Amino acid sequence: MKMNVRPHKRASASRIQVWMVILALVLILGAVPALLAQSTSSGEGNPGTAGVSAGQNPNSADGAQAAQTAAPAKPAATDGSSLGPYTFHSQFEVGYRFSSGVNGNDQMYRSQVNLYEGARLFNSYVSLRSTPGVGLFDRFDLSLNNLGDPYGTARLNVSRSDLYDLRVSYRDMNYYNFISTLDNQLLGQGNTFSQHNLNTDYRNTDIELRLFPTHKIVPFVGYSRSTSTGPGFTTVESTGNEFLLQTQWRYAADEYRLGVQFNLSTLNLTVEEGYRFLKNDTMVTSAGQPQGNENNPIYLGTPITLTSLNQGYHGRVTLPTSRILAKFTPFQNLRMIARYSYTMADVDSDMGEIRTGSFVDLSNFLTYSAAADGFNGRAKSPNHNGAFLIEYQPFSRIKFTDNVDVLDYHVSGAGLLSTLYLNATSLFGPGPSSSKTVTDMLNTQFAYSQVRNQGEAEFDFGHGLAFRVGHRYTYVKVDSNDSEDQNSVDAAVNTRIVGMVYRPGPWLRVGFDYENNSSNRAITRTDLFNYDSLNVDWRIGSWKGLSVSGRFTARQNSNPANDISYNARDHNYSGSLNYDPNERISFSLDYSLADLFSDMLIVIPQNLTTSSSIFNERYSGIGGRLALTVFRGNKVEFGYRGIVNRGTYPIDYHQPYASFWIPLGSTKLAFKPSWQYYRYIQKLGTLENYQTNLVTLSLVYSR
Amino acid sequence: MTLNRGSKSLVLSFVAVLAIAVLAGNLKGLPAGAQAQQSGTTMQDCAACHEELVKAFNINTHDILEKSPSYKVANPCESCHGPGKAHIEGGGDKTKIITFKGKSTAGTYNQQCLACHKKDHEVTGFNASTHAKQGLFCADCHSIHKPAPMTRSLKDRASNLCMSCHTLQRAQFSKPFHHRVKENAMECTDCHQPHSGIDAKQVSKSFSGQEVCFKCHSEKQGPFVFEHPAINLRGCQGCHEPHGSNNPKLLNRTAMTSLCLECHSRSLISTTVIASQPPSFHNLNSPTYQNCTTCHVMIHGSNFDRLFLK
Repeated sequence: MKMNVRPHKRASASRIQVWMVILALVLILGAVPALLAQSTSSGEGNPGTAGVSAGQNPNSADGAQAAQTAAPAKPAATDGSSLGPYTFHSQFEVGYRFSSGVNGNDQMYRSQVNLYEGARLFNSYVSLRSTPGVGLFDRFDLSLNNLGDPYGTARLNVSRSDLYDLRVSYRDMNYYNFISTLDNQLLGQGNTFSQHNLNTDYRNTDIELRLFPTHKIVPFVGYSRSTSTGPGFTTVESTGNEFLLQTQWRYAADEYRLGVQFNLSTLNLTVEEGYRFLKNDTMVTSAGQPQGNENNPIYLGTPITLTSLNQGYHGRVTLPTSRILAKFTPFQNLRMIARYSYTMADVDSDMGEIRTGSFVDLSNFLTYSAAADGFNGRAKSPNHNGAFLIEYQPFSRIKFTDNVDVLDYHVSGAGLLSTLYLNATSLFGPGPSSSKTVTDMLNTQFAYSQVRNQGEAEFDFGHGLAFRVGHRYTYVKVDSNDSEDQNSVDAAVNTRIVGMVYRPGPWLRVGFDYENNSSNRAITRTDLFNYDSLNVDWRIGSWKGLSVSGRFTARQNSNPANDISYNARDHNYSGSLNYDPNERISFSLDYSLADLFSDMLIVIPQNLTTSSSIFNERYSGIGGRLALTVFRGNKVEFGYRGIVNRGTYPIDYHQPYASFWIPLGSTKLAFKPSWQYYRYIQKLGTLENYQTNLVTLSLVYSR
Repeated sequence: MTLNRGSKSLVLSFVAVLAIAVLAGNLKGLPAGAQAQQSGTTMQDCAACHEELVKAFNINTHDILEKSPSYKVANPCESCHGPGKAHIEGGGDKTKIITFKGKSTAGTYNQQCLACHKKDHEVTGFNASTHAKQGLFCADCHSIHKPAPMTRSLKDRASNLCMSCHTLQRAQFSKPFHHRVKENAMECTDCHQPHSGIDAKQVSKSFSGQEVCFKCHSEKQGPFVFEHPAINLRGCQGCHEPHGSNNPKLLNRTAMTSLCLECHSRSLISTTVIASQPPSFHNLNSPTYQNCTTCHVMIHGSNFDRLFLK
């Protein structure tokens, strides 16, 4: 059985339309002013522009992706062109990516990298600045990244410092979900494609407009929309036989926000109201007559077959939210911040299913040839959470802080399932077939409450040396009741905190933190129960362009309860070195080592015996890059990023890259060829391995 | 102790704070930050030595201190660098002005910025944040005079700055399965709030006060008629590694059965933990049962089925 889930055509088409609109916008807002600027500033030297265009960011450590997504570097403030009152920066990178094809498992490549051939618009932006308060806007920033790739983004920020601030972001992510062969029940039959698979488009839009009629009162409105849609496969299981179904996933959430911020001399107050509306209109269907995974699907004398199945989901969630944030500074040495939000969600769901075939229902002791399910569910969920922070500094060298946060989350719901069986026959003996209706009412209640209080005292010993001691108390209470199970537990957790920081100046920082935690009981088996954690980090530099930093974190958690016996270790070491002595050379190197180990008792379901569940991961991550300006603005950059993982699931993952920067006659236009290589090796088998070469040829225009 | 009572107390405390503020009649002008440090100099005085900086300042966001009628600061340079008169009279004596380069503590430097910016809606208790406790200077990430393009006065792209210290996270984002940060599709600040001291680990929250993940993964937010308590009890990180993972779906275990059974293994005689139903009698030796979410597809919660099958 060979299956594939290619991008949803309709989704792809609409994605292209969206990007076309955005591209048109950038051409109008970007390229036209750029041409105008040419006339207004012809003959102007832009010595800094080449440096900007090269995108050689000394701190950039984005690994392979850096080859094609040149991050903008840091120009001198006088860089750019002038256009009326504006100083203008822009960059457009248009290119075509060639692929050698995926040598190996294309499904895994799509799940991880998902880059293919085609024309693309890479890191491009338009930026205008004017004297604050001049013109329609004194700031205009529009950036477009990876248009045409499965993770394209657009961000816009337009503002006039004394009038308004508009921020818009749009993100379109294709999430291709292929389950590893470790979970693929058909692997034994030689099928490397999972039966549970989704090819989802996540699109997120966020818009916020803040107005400054005065800076004392700032009203604002916001809108967010997030959708996930796409095709996929799922399965339905009927007394041991499993059938493949097609899914059309369709979710959309719209959120509207309205608020006002008051800036008074000692008080900042923000009041917000929001309304969120989530829609679920997912469909599931059988394509033709699916064949089950059992060769001889006989159960209690009945052949288990599925002729057709259709499910329609209809879920609606409304979520009004009231939120308030206050910052109060009555005295210079006393600050208070409080935040509170209240939501009252309402869930209304319906689902209908019709299936035909030959089935056995063990709970009602019958066989049947068709059934119609109808489900109606309702739930209410009042939820309030708040936080309060107080900071008091009685003396210049002593500071006390206390942070309380409270969360109350309740859901109370009910669902009614009605099933109409057609041609139903009792399992207990022969008899005439008939119709039978069964209804089942389910009630559910869930309440989760948490209070956390953390108090700390900080002593400043001068010369950049400060110590902290503190304590955190957490109380959690859970009530979970439904028609078939009831639980009610609470737990108190005490955490002792010690910390130190030494920061005599910008060139050196050393930090140290230690926590010791104890709980009176665990709420879940995998809770952080009794643990010690340590964090040490330091940074030196920059000295003549050289800076080094390092970090060590360790946590040891255990729960000795007889039926849990949980021990977990999480140790991490990391360090980096950056060397940027001048504009011609940039070098960076980083290394991380993570050592994760977990061991706990579990119950094996089929025989109720206990066994140890052991997970071990020991991975090294290494990355580096070297960027050189060779001659006359020609630049070359090499880099590598890789993961070597050993333990329960050993893998190697290599991502070397190289890119070149070749100015074409002027400092404004450059040719940028780049190469990327991905190689994924799973050590337990070869079915999921892949490797590919990508070559991108880009033209970059910068001003 | 009842939490409802605690929450009510919080609300009452807040109302009390609000009332005090209003009663105090604190409806005066803008904070002292920018104005308090003026010593009678002008930007032209500064330009005598720092011509390039002053020339470039006219397109700087902070130039609004001079231009906007809301502020009307005589010399914006002094708003950050402190009174400059002694520095000028001392022939450019660097010890008589705040340079942000010499010996000082984070508190001293940061106070210059926070005097104004503590009111920003993004800055909620910076002094109590992990970044402040670790001694970070605002100037470690921000550059007023030479900001990177397309940033809000940052020295570089936000995620590059974060990963220059958080090296481990840089490696995590290079794992086979990861959120698309290094591809420029996301920024660390989409999920983290670098200026917040009120949220644990400086992780943002959704508008309704829940996990920040739900901002994008809205279908998993709920509430649901049938909740999976793990979402609240352990948070998304109970099962997922948010930055990157060697396992599909950013899971923190390779085999899904291990991940699920670590919680769903309550022994039949034990009552020490919640949310661990007695284990089902699925035969894990059968391939059908080795991936729990093949059947329990709505594992984050369902509005249609108690066992998350639909």
